[in-house]
Amino acid sequence: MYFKDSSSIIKYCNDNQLSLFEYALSYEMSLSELSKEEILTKMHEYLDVMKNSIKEGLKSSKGGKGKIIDRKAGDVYKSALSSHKNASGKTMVKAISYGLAVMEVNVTMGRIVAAPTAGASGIIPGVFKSLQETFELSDDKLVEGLLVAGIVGSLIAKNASIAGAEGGCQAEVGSGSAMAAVAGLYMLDVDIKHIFHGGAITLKNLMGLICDPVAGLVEVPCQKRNAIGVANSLIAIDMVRSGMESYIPFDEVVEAMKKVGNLMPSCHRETGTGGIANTETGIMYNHKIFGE
Amino acid sequence: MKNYSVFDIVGPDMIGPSSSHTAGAAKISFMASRIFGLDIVEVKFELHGSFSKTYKGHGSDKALLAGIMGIRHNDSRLRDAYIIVKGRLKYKFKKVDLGEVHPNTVRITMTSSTGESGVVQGSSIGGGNAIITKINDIDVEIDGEYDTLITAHKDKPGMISKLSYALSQEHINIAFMKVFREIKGKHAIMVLETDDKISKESLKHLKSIKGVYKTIYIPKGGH
Ligand code: SF4
Repeated sequence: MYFKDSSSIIKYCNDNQLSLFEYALSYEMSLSELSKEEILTKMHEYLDVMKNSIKEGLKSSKGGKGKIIDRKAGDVYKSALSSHKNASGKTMVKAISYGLAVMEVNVTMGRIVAAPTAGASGIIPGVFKSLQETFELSDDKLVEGLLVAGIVGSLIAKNASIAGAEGGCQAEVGSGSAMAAVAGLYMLDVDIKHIFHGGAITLKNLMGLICDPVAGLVEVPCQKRNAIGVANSLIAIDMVRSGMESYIPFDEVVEAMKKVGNLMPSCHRETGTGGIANTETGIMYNHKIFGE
Repeated sequence: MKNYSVFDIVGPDMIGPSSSHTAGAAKISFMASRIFGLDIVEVKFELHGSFSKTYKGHGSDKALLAGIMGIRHNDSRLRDAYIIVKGRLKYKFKKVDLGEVHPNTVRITMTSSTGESGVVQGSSIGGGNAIITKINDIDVEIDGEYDTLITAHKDKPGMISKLSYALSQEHINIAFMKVFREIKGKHAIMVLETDDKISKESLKHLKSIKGVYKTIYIPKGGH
């Protein structure tokens, strides 16, 4: 039951009347030889770690700062609680504050779950917590969603890449966002036929995004990229739930992403030598932190 | 094409900021301290490639120190490694060029309270995965993804079957097994990855086999 792409998985699920979660579970049981209970227990632990990193991250004053960035998640969260209006709405502002929170905990050597990487670790927790609050989802449902997210990521890893050093930021933040969108649609009971449109839309929206961390540190632009990753998933979920589809199917988008990644010069793949890392200010930070 | 476990994608849980420079580094030095097996009073980390360039920015130094003290890659105490290490052991970081090795490589030299020393080298190969590539002068390959038993024994006929027989007596299933040696007829190192945990008694029993100098057990990575 190891399939090469999403269309074969969808067909298999439909033929056997399985949900994407049930498929993910049986896939993992046969691949890792773990029992259902072991898998779910481990995912529950991961979910707890994710929720804790949000909690920790929102206490902005605690835990120091990064080499470059300040911790801002708490301020963003507060602005959602205030009586002022927010340009993108309370739900969105809270969601991105969760994504920032995890990312900032990561930067200050706190505990996180890499999903798919440490650099993009804020996206899934941000989207999941937001959906849990809006739709009153149970933790068990979120754990199911994490397995679905894992299957989506495994398809991308297999057919393209989830590493910024290989495929640029589209492969990291793009993949995290696609995983969160597909999982979100699953958790909201969207039919399996439509679920992967969320993945296609999110990947397309970040197609070509380069990896250009200033001074090679996972701080700038990564902090805010986690916010766009969260927002990207939420808007894709809303679009798909109101009936929009991706004209290009998920599997082809993944293939395109791989080709785009292959064409990226190494200075745009995590070496910290291109993009914003190679600006006057970016270089200044590099010198300040690492010397000449 | 490889089929990835969902836990390769969602996970590991770790201390940030970088899976390869922080989590991977902690895993290498944790395994190194286990392999050395003695109580460490002094340690030297020789950092190569990307490790030597950016170790401070990613907290690789804290991760390496933490691992040596038995703190794992997902333990929040990792952040305070410099505080915890005070009064416990002496340490040194050095930038070096180890030649044609993986860009994230560290060579760790450990000294015990009895004055014995040992060298373990390892690389952080991405996604928080790490491998040990050298124990003293012998090339090895150990990733710690399974419960791992390492034996140092005399390189002579019959040793391998004796060891695997002893394990089967203890109902320990061997998943993978590799033998490495420096010079024929001298020392050999065997790395056994097992599906089952290995108890202290089993380890003692294995060590009592004639020709076995040392047995080391590395419990499966902090999942
Ligand atoms: S810019 Fe690079 S390091 Fe930062 S989040 Fe994107 S892929 Fe990761």
